[in-house]
Amino acid sequence: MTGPESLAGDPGLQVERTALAWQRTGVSASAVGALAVFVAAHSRTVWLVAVTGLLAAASAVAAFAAVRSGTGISQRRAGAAGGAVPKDSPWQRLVATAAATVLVALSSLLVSLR
Amino acid sequence: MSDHNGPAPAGRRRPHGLYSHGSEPDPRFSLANERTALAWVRTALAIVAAGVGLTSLARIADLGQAVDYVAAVMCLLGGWVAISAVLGWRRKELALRTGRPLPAPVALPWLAAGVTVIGVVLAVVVTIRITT
Repeated sequence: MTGPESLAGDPGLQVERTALAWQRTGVSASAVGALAVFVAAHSRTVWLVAVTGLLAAASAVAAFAAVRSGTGISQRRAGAAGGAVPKDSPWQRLVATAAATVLVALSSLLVSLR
Repeated sequence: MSDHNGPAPAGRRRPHGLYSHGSEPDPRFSLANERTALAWVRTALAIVAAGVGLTSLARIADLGQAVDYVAAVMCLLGGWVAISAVLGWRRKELALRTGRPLPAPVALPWLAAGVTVIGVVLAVVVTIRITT
């Protein structure tokens, strides 16, 4: 195994690919949340639209907070400078994104069982 | 493995139960593990989106209540896949840190089985709807 410096110059564009994966995931989460709100709006049930909208908004906020920390600006900068790899953990942003997905799933569950 | 980054920040990284074990792996492997978890999350989002699309299609095409229950099951499946994405990331990162073989993806056979069952149920429901 190579040392922790092996991200210098971002070999194989690992950092960039990870950042793009975060962007795709954040956009997908927001799109699915918007879809759930759209479908709920067609049910013309006021409480359902309100609940779905709140859950979708919360999930979009969580997803984009995760994307902001996950796009790896500090990692990219450190890697491009050939410097040390910052030892952060994707744990919190992964949990935030998964929680966002579960929130969207719950609101979609309400929509499908209305 | 040598550490040129000053005092070990491992103590501050969460979850402690993960970063207190083993040594720092090649960061490229950690990043690949992160991207795999994100691919699982996007799979979960796709299942939820399919569930939402299905329930609105059932409304438009008047497919009946059974399709709505299938859509609800898809939403639950999507939520579970999202949670298992995070847990799977943790398991794989622990294996990377301790130098053990990577664990098999727990959710994969269940996901495949779930999609198969949903497909069969939908085929049966729609066929009954068309022929009666």
